[in-house]
Amino acid sequence: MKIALTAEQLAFRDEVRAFLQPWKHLNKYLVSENSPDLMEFFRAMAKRNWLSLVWPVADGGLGRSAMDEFILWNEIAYNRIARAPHSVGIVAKTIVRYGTPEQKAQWLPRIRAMDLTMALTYSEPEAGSDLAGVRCRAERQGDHYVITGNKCWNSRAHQSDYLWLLCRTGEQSARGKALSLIIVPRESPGLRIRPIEVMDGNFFTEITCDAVKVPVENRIGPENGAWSMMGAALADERHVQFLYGRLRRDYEDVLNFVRANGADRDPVVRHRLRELAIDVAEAELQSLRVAVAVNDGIDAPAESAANKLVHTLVCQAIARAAMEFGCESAVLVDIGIEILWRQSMIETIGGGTTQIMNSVVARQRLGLNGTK
Amino acid sequence: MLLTFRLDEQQDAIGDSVKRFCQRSLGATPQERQKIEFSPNLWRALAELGVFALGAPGEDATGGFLDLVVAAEHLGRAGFPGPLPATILATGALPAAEVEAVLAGTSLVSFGRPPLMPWGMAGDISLGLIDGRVKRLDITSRTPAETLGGEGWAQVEAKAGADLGAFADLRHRYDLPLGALMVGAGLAMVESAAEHAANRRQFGQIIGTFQGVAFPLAEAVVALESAQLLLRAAALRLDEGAADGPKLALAARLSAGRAARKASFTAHQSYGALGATREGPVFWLSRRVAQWSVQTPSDRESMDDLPLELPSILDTQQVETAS
Ligand SMILES: Cc1cc2nc3c(=O)[nH]c(=O)nc-3n(C[C@H](O)[C@H](O)[C@H](O)COP(=O)(O)OP(=O)(O)OC[C@H]3O[C@@H](n4cnc5c(N)ncnc54)[C@H](O)[C@@H]3O)c2cc1C
Repeated sequence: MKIALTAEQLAFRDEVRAFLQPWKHLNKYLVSENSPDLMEFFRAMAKRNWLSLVWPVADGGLGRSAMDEFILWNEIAYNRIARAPHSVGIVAKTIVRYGTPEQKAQWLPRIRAMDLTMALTYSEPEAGSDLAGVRCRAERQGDHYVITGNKCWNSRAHQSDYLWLLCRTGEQSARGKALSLIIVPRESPGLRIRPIEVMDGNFFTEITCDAVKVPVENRIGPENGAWSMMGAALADERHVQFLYGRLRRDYEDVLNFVRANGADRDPVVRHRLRELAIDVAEAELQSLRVAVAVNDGIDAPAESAANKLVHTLVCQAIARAAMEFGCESAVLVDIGIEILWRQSMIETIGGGTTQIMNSVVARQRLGLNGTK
Repeated sequence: MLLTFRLDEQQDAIGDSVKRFCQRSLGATPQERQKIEFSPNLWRALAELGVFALGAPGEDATGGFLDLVVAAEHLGRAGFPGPLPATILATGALPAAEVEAVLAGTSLVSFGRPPLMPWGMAGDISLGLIDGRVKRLDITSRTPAETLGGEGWAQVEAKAGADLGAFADLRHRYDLPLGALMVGAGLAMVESAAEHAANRRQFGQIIGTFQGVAFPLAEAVVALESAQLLLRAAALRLDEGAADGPKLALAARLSAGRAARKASFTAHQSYGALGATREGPVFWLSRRVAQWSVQTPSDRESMDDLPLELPSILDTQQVETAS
């Protein structure tokens, strides 16, 4: 057992820290893709090829390790600047794995440069946790698909250039075996996108597709083959989804807030802070365990689910505690505490809910099929 | 690769040998194991295995703190009786001449805060935690005290003797094995309860298909694994000589305590009435966890020693190991 970074990794971490210096004022986190400030930040990353850090060199990436990618995004998370955009993660990594040479040439250079953004368009009114129940249909008509159906809860789709759309290309009863992934331009005729404000100031969307026509070459991977592709993309991204840097920073900010208010004189408050400090230490190891697994090419679904559980619940515990310490100024928007509370509420829903993660741990780690 | 959570061959070998030893000396099933009470012979046999010398100072050491944690996890799983944390503490606190008998298992260490002394009836060497110092105790009388954990505690009259040092400087030697025992016991309870839940039927279903049963067990195992990771990381840092090692060890022990308590209640509940029986599959371990949590220095009291700022584990890496 060893827990250390190599000299090269430490040097890279220092390089990232230096790079982030001029961007620290973006300390908002999670006002994610497409906000103008963030686009500037992402383009600065793109100049260093850091958005494509781990893509293969042949596909325009730097071919670096998953560990380097973890180091990069963990530092960004500590500064609460941004999350990894879906376009450079899930979308690009899927194109790298399954795209034709033409598709790679068409999409990857623009994604790498942050010249285009993509919104993940999976969820539907009737298909949330049960994603295999997706109903939005894509009918093949000659060299086009014609797409009809509804999507919802898609982060900032109204400001994205394209949708990375999961849709049904076969029988409803075939569930996950009849789904495909298609790239849909946002400006397509028949596409209506309505923003819905999230409690943290972000935006979801509600999307209606009314006979939206898209060329067949916009489908990535085989028809009806989306399910395993999505699984692979999820596995590729596990190490950068829930990062302990974020929790460490939340905790530090709350501790400073508590001290500034003198609430740290209260033994009950100190006790709760210590519980949280232990939580944060646990979360660091959980996320390192996942980073090591991804780096070593090991599929670790139970460990990833555990990591998501620990991170999202600790994130909420820190924010809730901060609101319960009895410091009235916690509700002042300028102080930066109430945003933690608003923001952390959604962590346990997006990307697989707490209950779904518990099912994964129960099944994979304990052999219990907790489905009822 | 400088980042791996895999144990090395020596640690795997230590784990295997402790596991086999527990099977030989206590039996293979919880029913057999819970009947075996502490005895000086059993303690000496464990000493012969070299467990007490893991993490010992200087030339006495047969291994490091990580080796100790691995061994103690297995002892916790098996419910091995005896004052392991007090023993490991003593190997760092006592003069070398006395340590030999402790390592050989011929001197049993009792550590506590008088008048109540855990293992106080059988203790050959008594150490007290008095005003934050570890002190030798001169016991003038002892009366047996029956406990929840079923261990031989005593009400004593004692006089404090020589000062052996600040507990803060020694406590990692106590916290690490205690935490590892708790994690081991917790994992044994949760895995056993999960096995039960995967077989028992009610309403025509395996009860593990009910989320009300499966989810608390999932939560408990995640908490235990977090604690296990933290304990092993703390042990690693102590072996490397990191200044922050003791702080991490304390955090890890507290993490283990809360995880093991949660595991206890979840396991009791998952077994239904069977879980409530005195000689059943849970009580023999849960009662120990409850006792470990409260015996001096309790989790509650130890919590006050934890700094509000814990270092990042990666940031405590010893730079020379990264070259
Ligand atoms: C911040 C955020 C960002 C998001 N971004 C996107 C995005 O970019 N693109 C996108 O497509 N979607 C996105 N989503 C949607 C997200 O994927 C879904 O919200 C999520 O999958 C849950 O689906 P649902 O909201 O329909 O809830 P439901 O599935 O209806 O769940 C409701 C409740 O029931 C519980 N539940 C459901 N099934 C089970 C079960 N089998 N066992 C036990 N409990 C169960 C859930 O845990 C939850 O508590 C986002 C959501 C959030 C909060």
